[in-house]
Amino acid sequence: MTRSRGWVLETSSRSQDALDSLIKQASLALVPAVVKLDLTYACNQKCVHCCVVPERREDLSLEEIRVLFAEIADKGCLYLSLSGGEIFLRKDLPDILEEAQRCGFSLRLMTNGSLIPPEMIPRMRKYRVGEVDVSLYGDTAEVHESVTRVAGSFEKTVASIRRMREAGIRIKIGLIILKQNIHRFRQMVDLAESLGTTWNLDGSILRRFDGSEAPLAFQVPVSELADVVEYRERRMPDLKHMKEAWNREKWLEGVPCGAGRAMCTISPYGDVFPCSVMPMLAGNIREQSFAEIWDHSEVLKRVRAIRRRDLETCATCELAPFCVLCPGRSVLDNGSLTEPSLFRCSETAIHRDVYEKIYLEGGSCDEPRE
Amino acid sequence: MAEVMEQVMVHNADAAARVIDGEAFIITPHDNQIHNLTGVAARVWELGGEGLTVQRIVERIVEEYDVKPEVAKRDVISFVRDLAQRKIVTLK
Repeated sequence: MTRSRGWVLETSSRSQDALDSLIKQASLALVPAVVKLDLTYACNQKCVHCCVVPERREDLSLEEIRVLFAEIADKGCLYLSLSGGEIFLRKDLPDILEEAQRCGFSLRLMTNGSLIPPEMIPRMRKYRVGEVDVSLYGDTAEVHESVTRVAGSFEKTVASIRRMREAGIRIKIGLIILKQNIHRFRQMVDLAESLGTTWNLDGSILRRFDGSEAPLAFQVPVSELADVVEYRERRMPDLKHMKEAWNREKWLEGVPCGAGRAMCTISPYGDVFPCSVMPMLAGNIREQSFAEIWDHSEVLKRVRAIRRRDLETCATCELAPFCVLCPGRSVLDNGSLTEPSLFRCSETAIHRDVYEKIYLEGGSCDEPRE
Repeated sequence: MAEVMEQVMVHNADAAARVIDGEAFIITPHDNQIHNLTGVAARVWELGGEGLTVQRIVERIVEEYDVKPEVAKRDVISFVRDLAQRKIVTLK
């Protein structure tokens, strides 16, 4: 048989390009390549901004998780994120990791880092843990613990990060920016870098999944996030690439994101959602197989049907080249898949302002750090 | 070159990998990088799962694609060396 495809023997070397290709390809083929499983909503910290709402239902058992892993592997899952709550509260976590490894996933663990048993760390590599994401809320115990509301949590988290780095585990620190710590965000980045980790600055706080707006009291007003966005862009240029790569016609024809097409989130109770922020229940794996939900859920069909062209406000918005569309955030903020989240719109305006300041007003992303 | 041709190309058993609509996505654990192989590249990698020598992989590629044997041999050898360097496969 002669195949007609071009003779190109090469590997896409830029990881971001390869990841974009994965999401694009999986979105077209409707393969859940990226799955997030929340193992429990129990947590040892009491973070002021937490959006999780624990219920009285039982967490998925190890046996239920085994069945689920086999099903999502069969459907093509490649990246599996295990999150919570705090995943290290589960006593059977080593068994869960072993099962995930057996199913061939690339694993990402999301944790507050304060409960990781030192003896567990050397085993993470064996379990094919590609990255551990740790949340940090300050560069000092005082600031961090004003968010976690647990004395001693800062020292424990930092000690775990050090141990994992010594063991060669890749760490990304999620620096969550709140009213409590915005004055220290540069020092928080310095701490992350001194620990030898990558980092991300995130100033986006979600309302609770039951609709409560309590966490939003800690959200930094978007207008005050400009410094954070500018700092991030100068250190990790992204807006420039977004702007230069943007093409309106292609953009309009595309899907807003991979939610429900290439990715999904599963709660500790087996509820399946299109993504981690979109509170639209697609089904429950205790009542149906994952494959039945993925292939036949009416909710997923609704989410998959949307094209950017259908987002009336967004389709004509002049800020579109700077926008990371998030229908999940739209649903969470205003109950609509197609009406934009005003938070996102304000954030996007900041992106545009920062882009113009850095790239159009004679600045450079290579300017020295403050 | 002759030595490489006799070696067997084997997938890195520690790498996570999936093929989606003919494209291979492989995550190497030592650097947590994702690699994307399309077209012939994906096919060569796929053949690595069958425990074939590089010689046999070249022959299969020549059977399946409209390509001259000498071109296939040169390109496949260069490509599998690149895959081995990235620890996507091993040559045994």
